[in-house]
Amino acid sequence: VIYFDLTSSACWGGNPVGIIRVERGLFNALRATLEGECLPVIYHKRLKLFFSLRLDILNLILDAKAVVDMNVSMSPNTEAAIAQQPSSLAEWAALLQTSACEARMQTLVATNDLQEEWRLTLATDKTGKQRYSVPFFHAADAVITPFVGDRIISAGLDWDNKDIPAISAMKRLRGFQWIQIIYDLIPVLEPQFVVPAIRERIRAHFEAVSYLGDVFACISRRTESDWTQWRSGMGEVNRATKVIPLASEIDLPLHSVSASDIVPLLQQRKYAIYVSTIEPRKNHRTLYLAWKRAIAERRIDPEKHALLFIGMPGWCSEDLIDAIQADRTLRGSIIFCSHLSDAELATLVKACTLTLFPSFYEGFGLGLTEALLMGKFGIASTSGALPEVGGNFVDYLDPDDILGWSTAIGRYMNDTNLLANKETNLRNFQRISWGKAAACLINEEFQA
Amino acid sequence: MTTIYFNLERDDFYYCTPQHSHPNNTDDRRRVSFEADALLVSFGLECNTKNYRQMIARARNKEYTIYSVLYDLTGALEPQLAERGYGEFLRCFFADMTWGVSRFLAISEHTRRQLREFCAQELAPHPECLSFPLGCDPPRGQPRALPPSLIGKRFGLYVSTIEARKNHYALYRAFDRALADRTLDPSVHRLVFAGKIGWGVADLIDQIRANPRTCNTILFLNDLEDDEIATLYHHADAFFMPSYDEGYGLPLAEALAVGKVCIASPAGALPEIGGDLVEYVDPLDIAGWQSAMTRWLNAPFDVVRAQERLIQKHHKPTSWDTSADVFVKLLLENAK
Repeated sequence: VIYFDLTSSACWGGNPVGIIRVERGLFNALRATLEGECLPVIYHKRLKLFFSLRLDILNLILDAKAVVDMNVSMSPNTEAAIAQQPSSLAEWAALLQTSACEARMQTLVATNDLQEEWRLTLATDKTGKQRYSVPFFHAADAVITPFVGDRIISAGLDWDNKDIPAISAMKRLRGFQWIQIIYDLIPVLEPQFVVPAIRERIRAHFEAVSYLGDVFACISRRTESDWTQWRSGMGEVNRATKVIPLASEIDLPLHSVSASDIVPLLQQRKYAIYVSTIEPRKNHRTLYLAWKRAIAERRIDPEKHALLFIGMPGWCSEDLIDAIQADRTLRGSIIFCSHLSDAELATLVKACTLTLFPSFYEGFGLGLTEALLMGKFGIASTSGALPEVGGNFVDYLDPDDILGWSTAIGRYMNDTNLLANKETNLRNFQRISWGKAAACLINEEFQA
Repeated sequence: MTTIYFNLERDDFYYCTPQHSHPNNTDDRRRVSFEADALLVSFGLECNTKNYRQMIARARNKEYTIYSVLYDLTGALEPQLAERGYGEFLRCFFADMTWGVSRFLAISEHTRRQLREFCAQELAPHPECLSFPLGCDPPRGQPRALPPSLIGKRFGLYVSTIEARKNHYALYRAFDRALADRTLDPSVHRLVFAGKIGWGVADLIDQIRANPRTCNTILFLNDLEDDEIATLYHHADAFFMPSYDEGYGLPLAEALAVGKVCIASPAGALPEIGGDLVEYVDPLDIAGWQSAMTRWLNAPFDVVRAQERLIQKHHKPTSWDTSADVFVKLLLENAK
């Protein structure tokens, strides 16, 4: 049996980030291929157990209509037993029993509850969407007891939701296989790009996962080579890695809406966009300085051109945002927008002239494939996996080559013929389906 | 020339006399009554220390004539390079000053150009503006032993407050890239940022300290005494100054006075100071900075020393005496 872990999607409120979309996309494709052999599971960090997900709740989660509330109340005895760190596998097995008994009882109560009435409450999340808040034992069904020959696939934000040492112990006890999707090696290779408060935690998580995993499925060749290099640097014998391509299916709605707050700001200017959280790794600074220089050298005219930064302000970017907002030479031509609905985003992408991706590092680059599929030409950085994703359909520049970006942006914003040629070429861009991604993951797996 | 000061509480000028040296010790007998042709020379940033609107109003009532030294207008023209909110304040201040000052004495040609640009932008009157050179003495103090972290290392130096305008970012990127592609060696090479930590750089400092390549190789040294600064200048292999803008650029003048190999941005007044003794790199050209950095930090010692001797031979520092002579001449020159 293949257990697919959906804990991150189950706990996710708000608009999906890349990892959540991958988790949902891969799961859907695997379930379509394997049907009953691919079971959705959810992990509870305090109980240290995997549970199967109730199918009705699963559908709500996949449609982003429900968030599972991980708070559970336990009997004091169980609480005390779980708090102790087991020192042997026997103790560990006993603990699993305790926690599984508790879970079974709770699930029983929940099931009875559900038979009486549908007790979910609707809550409005920060993006304004209404979601059901589902108590954990309403979502969780039976405790999963994986055995030798079973596989668990994890593609989520595990540093938040998993107790990796506990899972390792369970694995030693039961002998199942752990397949880990690896997005990028930023936390160990370029920790300066990680949120300061969790840098150390994520690095430690990577260490732990590197011992837990049996197969590491990397989302690009770049990620695979970084992974292998890091592990061999740690003196480790090669463990199985493979590369799975991420799908470039977009589920953005096709009908247009008016992004009412932004459209007036654009004043019918031609604009370039960068869709990304604002954080140091994404390198908005290069675009800011390049744009400013292009204005100074009159290749960009703030009356006719604009640059849109679409995304939430993240960490360590306050200085940059302050500078852009205070800079009078820009004359309002760099515009920030966040909290857009998918429809608004799609509208803005479709009407843009140019898309930009100057990141210092990307494990993949979903934004780039999406832009290409919408027929939008882009300039991307030579870093990370972006060249693997964009192939010959994109122009590439060093992320630190500010002057190069400045020249290129000026050229494409003004030369409509040049741009039209590039856009015609995009018709040959191949889309990859989640089915193909899933096939890569399991087919080779079965051969291995 | 008489020295007077402005008492902010009483909104007026007072004579500085030794017996009444404390600014708050005001006494109406010491209050300045200006003669008809009085010339008021201002060296300071009046917005911080004076009721400058009232000062300007009195000048417009012909109570006295104001000549004002002008350092730079960067904060007013590029508020993103100043402390948050301060740029707007400076813009109002300088716009007001143009209505009351009869002659600006700019510390560089660049500052003169800035005034022209500023007045055009703000639709302000453009008072006469002359420029004079600032003096520069070689950094005072006797070279001492290097801090332990720099002993046996080759290092590039940037002496300056750490703030957005100074563009430490370019040096960080260039140094990080050179370490990543191994054209610089983390066991040998260092980059030293000597200066107080200012505004708008918290995120940059976080990146430098969290980046495994730079956390131990880029050194922040602050609260340095003259002796210590002189030591750093003395031992550095090269001096870098990638500022976005400078009204003058004292550290560059100091580095040249010590005869250091200097790489600077061609922005602001830096080319006026550096002439053709300095190598210029665009402040946004990270690859250019990287190449200059790797070239000089890897250069054989005799090549560095030969270049230093060349600079010492050709550099003609401006003494403070020369600077003062020119300044006084400008003061006395009749208004055109």
